[in-house]
Amino acid sequence: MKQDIRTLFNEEDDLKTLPENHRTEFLGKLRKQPKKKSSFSWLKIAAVLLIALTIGFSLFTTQPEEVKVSPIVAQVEAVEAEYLANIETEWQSFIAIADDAVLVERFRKKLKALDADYQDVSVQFKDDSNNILVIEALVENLQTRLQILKDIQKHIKILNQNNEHNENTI
Amino acid sequence: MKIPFKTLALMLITSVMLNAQQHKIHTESFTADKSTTAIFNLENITVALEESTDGKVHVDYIMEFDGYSKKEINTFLEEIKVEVGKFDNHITLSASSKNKISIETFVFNTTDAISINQSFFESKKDSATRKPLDSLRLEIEQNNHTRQGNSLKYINDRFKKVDKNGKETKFKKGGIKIMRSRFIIKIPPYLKLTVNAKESGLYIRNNLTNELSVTLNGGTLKTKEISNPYNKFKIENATMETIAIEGGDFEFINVKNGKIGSVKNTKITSEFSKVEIGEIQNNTTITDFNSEYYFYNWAKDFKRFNLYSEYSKIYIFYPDLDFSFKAIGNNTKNFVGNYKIEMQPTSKGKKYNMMERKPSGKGDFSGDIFFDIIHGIIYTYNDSIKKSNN
Repeated sequence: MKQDIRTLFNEEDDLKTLPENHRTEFLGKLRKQPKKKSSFSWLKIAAVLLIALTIGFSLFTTQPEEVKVSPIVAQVEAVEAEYLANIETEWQSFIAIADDAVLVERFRKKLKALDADYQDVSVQFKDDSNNILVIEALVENLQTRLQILKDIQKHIKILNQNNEHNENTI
Repeated sequence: MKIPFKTLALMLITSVMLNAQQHKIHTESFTADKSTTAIFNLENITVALEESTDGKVHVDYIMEFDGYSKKEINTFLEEIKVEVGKFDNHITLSASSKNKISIETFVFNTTDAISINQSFFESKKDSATRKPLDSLRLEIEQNNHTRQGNSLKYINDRFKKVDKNGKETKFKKGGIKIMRSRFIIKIPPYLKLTVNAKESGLYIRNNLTNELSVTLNGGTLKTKEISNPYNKFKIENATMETIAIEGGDFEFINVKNGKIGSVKNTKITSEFSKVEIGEIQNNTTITDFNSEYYFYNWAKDFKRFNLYSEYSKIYIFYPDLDFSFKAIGNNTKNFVGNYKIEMQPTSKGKKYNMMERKPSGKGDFSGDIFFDIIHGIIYTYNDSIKKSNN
């Protein structure tokens, strides 16, 4: 059955004419429609709770454990503390008797340099605390600092002593 | 009887092999000619330098482990880095380890506490006995033994094991793990070599005439005769023992137990060190601050010896042959036997002619000893000296 399709478009144009109160009716219907609750909000709450619980649990379980110091490390630390106390005592005693500012400054620099070396070896000791070479290096460094302070004081005392046997010719 | 004996021998060999495991770290050789130069950068590594007889440079590094598990060995080996290369006739070797390695390294194999024998680390009392040259050389040679003869004695002299009740006991085999390093570099005599070493050991096992520039901070330097007028050594915080040095400049900073068999045509600058010299030969000059020197013997023709020092302690044994001695400076004490001589009490900076001994004119003349010394202490032995009155 033949038909002029152009007439069809004319009919459709007639159908598309909207009533005057169409807009207000549509808005009214829209307002009356019940609001749909989003199921995602519950999921979000659950996810936040889950994360909070996980973090809380992990924090609870990873509380800092009692750090166990190896007996060798403890012993070296004790020796270090003893040496450092003695070095400080000898240093105070040295600066009390030395009347040569250049000498004091030279010793101050030397002790600082030795301390810097000690810090380097200490880092190594943390990784290699059972290595006898490293422990020896630490003790020798402390012993050197103590010894140079003792020796220089002995030296100054000898220089300051009055002559007991001042001989011209031997 | 033969079969049980063989079985026993086989078991012994197997057990030794199981106990000590050898691992090759690096092996490489390079051709070298008279214009070849080399630089070795070392950290926490011990190297032995030997003379090459085929004109090539040979690098050969083997480690041996005793008492270590396979896992421990693998971890250890991963932390040793060795890189060697040659470019434009220049050889570069870099070797380092995370852990400190000596020729023989001892590691505690215990979770027990230890005690440290602090008195062992204290410096020994001053010796006032003249050491003949041969005797000091022998001492140096013996100390140069590559390994400890008795490793347990070495440990027990320095440390003790402490049990839970606080009781000290000696370490026994099994309480110690041992690493042995055999890192040998052979160099031809014409190779110009620079060594930069930190916390390392450098053992020169042959007499070398190579031009050497060596910086060592921490560790050990032990050498046979090293002679070259252009040698430059800077040794800091280290132990040093050398059979002989001839030519070059040497700097010693906090050198412990320094022992030099003989010294010739050399300039030494030092501070905070302790050095024994077996024999002073031709033209040696020492400039020092606050070190302790022992001058035991003098060559028949040492010509001139100069010492410039501040706050030094000098033990001097006079030459057997005729000699002259002059000391200028101030604020110095001289001990001769039971006598103490205040050579010049002032310390105001002005230098005085403090002591002079003119040649006696009897017999052969060996040389002039000259001291420029302030705030010094001199211990002299076996001679008569005359104090000048200024």
